Amino acid sequence: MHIFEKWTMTIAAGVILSVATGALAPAIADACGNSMRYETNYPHRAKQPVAQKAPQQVGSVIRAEQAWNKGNWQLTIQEALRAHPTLSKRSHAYMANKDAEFVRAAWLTASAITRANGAFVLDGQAAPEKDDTKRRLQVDWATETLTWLVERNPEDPLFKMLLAESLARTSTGSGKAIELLEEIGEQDLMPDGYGWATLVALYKRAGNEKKDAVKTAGERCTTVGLDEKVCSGDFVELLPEAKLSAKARKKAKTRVAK
Amino acid sequence: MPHRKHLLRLAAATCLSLLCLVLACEKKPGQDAPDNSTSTKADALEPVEIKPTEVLPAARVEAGKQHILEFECNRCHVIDGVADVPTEKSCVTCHQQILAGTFEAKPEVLQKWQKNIIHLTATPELSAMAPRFKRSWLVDFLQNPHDLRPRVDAQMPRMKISEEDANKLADYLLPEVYAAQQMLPGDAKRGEERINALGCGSCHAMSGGNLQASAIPVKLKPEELALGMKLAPDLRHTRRRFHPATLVTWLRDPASIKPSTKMPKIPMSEQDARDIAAFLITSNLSSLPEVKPPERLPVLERRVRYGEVSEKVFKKVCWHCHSEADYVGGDGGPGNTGGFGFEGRGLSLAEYTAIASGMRDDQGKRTSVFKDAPNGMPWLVAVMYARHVEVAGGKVEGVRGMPLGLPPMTLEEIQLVETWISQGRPR
Repeated sequence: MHIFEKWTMTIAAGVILSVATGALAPAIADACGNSMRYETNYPHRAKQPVAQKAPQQVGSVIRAEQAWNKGNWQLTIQEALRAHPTLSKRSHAYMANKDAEFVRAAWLTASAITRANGAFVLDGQAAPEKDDTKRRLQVDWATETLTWLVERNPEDPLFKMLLAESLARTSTGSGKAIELLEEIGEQDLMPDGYGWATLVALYKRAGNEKKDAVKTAGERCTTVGLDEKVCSGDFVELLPEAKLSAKARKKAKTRVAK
Repeated sequence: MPHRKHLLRLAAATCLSLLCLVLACEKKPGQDAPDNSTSTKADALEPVEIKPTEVLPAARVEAGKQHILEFECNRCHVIDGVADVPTEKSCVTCHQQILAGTFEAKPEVLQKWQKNIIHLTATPELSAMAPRFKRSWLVDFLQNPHDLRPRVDAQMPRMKISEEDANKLADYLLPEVYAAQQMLPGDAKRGEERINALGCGSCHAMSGGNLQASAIPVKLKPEELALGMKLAPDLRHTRRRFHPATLVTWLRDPASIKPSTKMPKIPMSEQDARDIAAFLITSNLSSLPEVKPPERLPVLERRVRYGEVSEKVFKKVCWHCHSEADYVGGDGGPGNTGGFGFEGRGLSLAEYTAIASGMRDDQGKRTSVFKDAPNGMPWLVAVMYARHVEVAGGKVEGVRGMPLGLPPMTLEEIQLVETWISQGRPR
């Protein structure tokens, strides 16, 4: 075969291959970043140049976030605590932990506790909790945890919003909650509809003078896709302060947020 | 007897001449023989020795290397004397390993990724640049990159490189100075004939010039040919890039200058090389047609939710550089925690809440990605549309086109994002 013919055939084969590859390429390219790190992380590897964690642990945090995105607070707590059970000890020692994935598990748990108004026990089972005092203590724990995260990341709108949500469950924290939410709302940095819904709840507490603001915040909430029930803000409970002795509070390892 | 001797000598000379003529005219299969019309002339020409006229001080070169590391040029290029970055930071190495099946991952995962990889599979190795390239071109190219390799879909990205930065980078890449070289005499008209006969146009384009594709007169492995074709530069830019005397040596034996080059050694005489160099440097180039960026599409009437935008746009391309910073020890990519000489924007496009949480602006203040850019478009739309403008040779003031250095997102993809934003970014 003459070299020119060979050359032409090589080019033709290359073109056909390129076209075929292009046509077969699916829409999502998830080969990089976190997905790559997760998918390449499996136990039988002799060396681990990319991933550092056991896959079950990573998978639990990922599942916790998926559950959080769907509003399944109980499953969020279960999965996050499966990855990092030390969170359930309510010890403040965890605040020295700089592990980024642990931090994610912490805010997911704190947010789920808050959005459920403390209605799940802070342990691996996340059983329902009905006692108001205990519910408030759990929300206080969430407030502490989120305060710690805001201090670490003072500009992060997500942590600000989550902290405001937990503060909104307390009479003493409502003012600060409005301040935080209005600030990120004015900057068009509200991370999701729950921030708007919480603002609706806070404005409603303020009475008629905030009538227009309630309407505006409610509209923003529904526009970003949350249903009317959530956007009414009625799910945000104002929990009474837990009346505990100093000794009992120490035992609960939770301080009331100032 | 003397007369007979003379006749015998004449006959022998005639036979020898005829034999030479037959041998000269015989074309070996698959080979384009050198042009014999100049063979005598070519034999008389000696290759010109190329020597640097100056070597930059070591401290200046070292400072340049620090700049190379700061701009992370080694995330895309192999560079002489610069350590490779870890695989997970090297877009090209990672893609190459996945395509070759050598990346350490489950086979089914590899297969999935192999189908997805389109961009950043080959970049030129930055070695032996000093003898070849003019400093003026390099300094300008680093600041104002253009489409140098038409068959590579990615381009040198438009980075935040000032003239001072570009000069420092050039100090490392061009550590020896080759003072203004004189062009060696050559016949451009003949050079045009030779370049078209020697198959250069089968790999190279020469936009605005007269270069035709023809068979390469050397045998190459298909994968070598494919890679060579992919990386072959547009010869329109040769006159601005190359030192003219080195170009002649390069044409005759590229590997003698850059051993790792993919450009094959094509048999040619010194005269051929000088004539081709004259053609590349002096032939008339027609001006390129003006390319206008396409018009944006109007927003869609139908409802667009986050899931669709994420699947079709954000998690297709964007999140490779704008990811979450914390999962499994990842750094979130250069678009989040910084890289390629950019400070971290703190922008993740991997999750709804992260996108809604905005990014850091030039002053380090957190700002919405939906706010109006200087051209009045929502910022996310403006950066994607700006890439179309950049590819068309323009620039949008104050907006850097995204995805950085890659082909623009399609107009339909941009339309989808703009529609989603216009509808209030429903989740």
